[in-house]
Amino acid sequence: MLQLSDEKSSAFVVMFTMNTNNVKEKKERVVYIACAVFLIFCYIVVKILSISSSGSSSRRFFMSGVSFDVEKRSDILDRNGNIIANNIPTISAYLKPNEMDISKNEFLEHISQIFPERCSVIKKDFEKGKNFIWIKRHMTPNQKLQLMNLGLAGIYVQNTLKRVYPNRNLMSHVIGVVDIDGNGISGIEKKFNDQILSSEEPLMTTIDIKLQHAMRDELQKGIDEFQAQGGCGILMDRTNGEILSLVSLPDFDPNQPSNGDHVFNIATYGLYEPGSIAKIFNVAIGLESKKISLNSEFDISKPLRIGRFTISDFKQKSGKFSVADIFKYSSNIGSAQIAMEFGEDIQKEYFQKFGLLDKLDFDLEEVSSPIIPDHWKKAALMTLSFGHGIAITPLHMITAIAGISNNGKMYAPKLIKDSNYKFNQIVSVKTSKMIRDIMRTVVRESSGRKANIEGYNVDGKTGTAEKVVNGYYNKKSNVCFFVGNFDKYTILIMLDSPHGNESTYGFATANWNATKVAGKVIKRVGAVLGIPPETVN
Amino acid sequence: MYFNRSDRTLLGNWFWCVDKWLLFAFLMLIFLGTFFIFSATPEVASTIGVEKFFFIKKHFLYLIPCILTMIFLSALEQRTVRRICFGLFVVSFILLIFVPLLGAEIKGAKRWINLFFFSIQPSELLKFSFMVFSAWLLFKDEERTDFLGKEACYVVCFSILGLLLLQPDLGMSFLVFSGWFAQVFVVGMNWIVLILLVLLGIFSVIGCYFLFPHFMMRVDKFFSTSESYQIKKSLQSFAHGGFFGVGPGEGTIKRFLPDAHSDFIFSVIGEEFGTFVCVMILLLFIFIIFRVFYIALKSEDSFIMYSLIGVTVIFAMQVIINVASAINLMPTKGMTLPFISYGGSSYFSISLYAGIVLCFTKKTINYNKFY
Repeated sequence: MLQLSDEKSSAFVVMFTMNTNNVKEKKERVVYIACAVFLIFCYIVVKILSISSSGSSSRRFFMSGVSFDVEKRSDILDRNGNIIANNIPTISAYLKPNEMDISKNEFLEHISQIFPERCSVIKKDFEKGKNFIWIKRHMTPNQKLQLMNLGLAGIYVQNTLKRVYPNRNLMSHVIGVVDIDGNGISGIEKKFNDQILSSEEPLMTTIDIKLQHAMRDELQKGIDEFQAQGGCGILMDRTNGEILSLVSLPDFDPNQPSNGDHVFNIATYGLYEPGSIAKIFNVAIGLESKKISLNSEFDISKPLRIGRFTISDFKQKSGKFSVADIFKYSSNIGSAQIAMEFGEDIQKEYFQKFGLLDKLDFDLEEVSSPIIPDHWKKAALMTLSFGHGIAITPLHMITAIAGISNNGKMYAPKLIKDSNYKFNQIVSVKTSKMIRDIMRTVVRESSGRKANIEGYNVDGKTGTAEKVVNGYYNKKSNVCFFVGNFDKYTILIMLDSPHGNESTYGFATANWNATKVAGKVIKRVGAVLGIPPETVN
Repeated sequence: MYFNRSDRTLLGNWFWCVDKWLLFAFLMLIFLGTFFIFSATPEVASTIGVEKFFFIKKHFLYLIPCILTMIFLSALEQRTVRRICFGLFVVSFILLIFVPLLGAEIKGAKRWINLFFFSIQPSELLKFSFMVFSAWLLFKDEERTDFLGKEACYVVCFSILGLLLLQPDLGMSFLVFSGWFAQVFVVGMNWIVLILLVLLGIFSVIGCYFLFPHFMMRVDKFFSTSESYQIKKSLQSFAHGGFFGVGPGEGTIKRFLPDAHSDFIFSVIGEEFGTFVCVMILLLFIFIIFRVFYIALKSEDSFIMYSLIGVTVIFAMQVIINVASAINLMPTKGMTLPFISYGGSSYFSISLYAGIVLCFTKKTINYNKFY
């Protein structure tokens, strides 16, 4: 096949014709290859030098003369520099079974004197025929001494670090946890894992542990009082988006993550229908699109029918009501009529603007995407006006409402102190002022009265939504919200499935429970924040 | 060792003809490799549960036949080495065809054939011998107009690539392709064909990404922000070692570094002997590569030049891929570091390389001129 005698004239040959016998050009090409190889080698040498010089200080470290076999995670601080997470040096011991000079049973017997709880695990590892078995990770120097005094062959120790959270449960959902190898697996520890591992500087959060404590304490008391399943509280500085406190209960101790059943972060991961809270959005859209004014009147005396649904009010009123009153009394019928004025397109546009339709870009991994209506038609328009037919996280609610209340400047919520503050103008200053006014009437005269803390001119809105259980509304179980503003702060309190008691005359609605908790929190954090009292408005 | 210049015995002839710079560099690498295997393997041996000096003993078992192969090849006439390479090429090519049928599957790929007493990886035998064979085809093509050497060369190369991708062995395919590509480039390929071949290479890498799940996984891992465990440990090794290292046998990260004795031995050197020694080793490799290129440039025999370019580009790519994987410059690719990594088949293959290079760089009369 190779020895074809005919001329090389096929298309194949033409294509691959080479300029043969030009020795000079061939040698030039050899030089090209040599240059390419040389450049690659240069790049490799530079890279090796940069790894060994840059990494040596941050990746490996020494403490009181001891070298550690693990990477160091930098500390995490609250906004005032208090430690939320740091490390303590520990010792981890492992066994190489093939270097043992005694039988496995003898070994287990010795180990049971020091670590009785580890015996069953080590026994299992023996049975699996492992070549590397952890005897005990993160033990104390005293335990190491005992282990060494056994004088057994095949035991090795490593200097390790254990992540500790001195505030225990206080920050659990914010801070997250690390696995036994020191990698963040939830919360800030996960989201900022690379930064925490590589940076020498501590990571500063926007949380204030004093406010966090007040919030958690009052929320826990509220949950106990109303026998709620859980709840969450968020305190945000609405003028820059910094979150000063974020509590989700029940919580867990990040120092013992294996016992953590309550790892679900309600505040950022839970999806709830906002209920009457959404009436803030509804009126804001109406005012901003200039379809209504606060004095526009609507007849709310009859329940509204749309298809097979009937929209009715918690307390049926009769006659014509202004928008301000519809808001104050939280009328579903009135809200639906307001929504009819601007229609579903404008509604969708503004919901988008308020950030209610997208997953929030936040400093935690645990953030949910909202559940939004498939068919955004007339029925959706009307139910969305009073907060049904959409499920969003409490963080979505507080972010949007803080934005509407902050002269229309909506800041992205943040947990980490940096200089990156960005905002969107979502409504006009005028609309913002009007919304604040009618929210103030809610706290002064209507469902928010329990949060009317003297000296702070609190404004806010309550919301009670029936909980969706297995796809149906459960009439017996509510989710209660209070969202309000005081000074430059916005607060959200949510209680999941609270019960009525004697003090609430059996009612389990937000005006009785969430509002009461919010009032107590505002009273406490107001004092900590040093807010000067204002004249009553 | 001293030989009289008039000594015309086999050994005397060899000593005066062989390129002593290259011989010294190869022996230096063999010595260093053995030294590093002493420090890197006991830990691995105890981890997988064999006797501490298991790898070292096996290494010496390979070492002697490998050095002998190198010296033996370098002492032969170039013509004889060429014929040996042809024979080796034919045998390994046939074995390569049988690999998909008879091969033993290790870690998801069929690359090895079990012969009665030992197992061999035909592609390791093939890569350097193929370079000599294709150099001869290209050379003959230029010399004789009635000989379709170039065309045959294309056909053989692509059938080898096809067989390698069947295994699949992407790293080896890349090595063979790059060596062959360098040869055809030097022979004087059209720039159009050159660009087409580069495009083909790029598209086949993209194709491999979608065809081979393990390749996809590694590439994805490389481009994701968090490094894999192995890479993390490897980078830590260099950082821990610093400029002068922590001392022989003192490394701690090697205990947690998989393949510390083979694919990631460079990281162990980085930790124990420091970046300084790493750079010195790289300089030694660079010296060999450029010395061979220099002699190839001076050579009057095109066949010798093509062969040297082909085998040395493969050698260089092997070093580059191994080191670049260890320092996270490219996705991890199992590739041994010539002369330094532990491993029988690859060590033998590298001794073939050294033998071929030492033979073809000999000061000699160009026999081909007299054909």
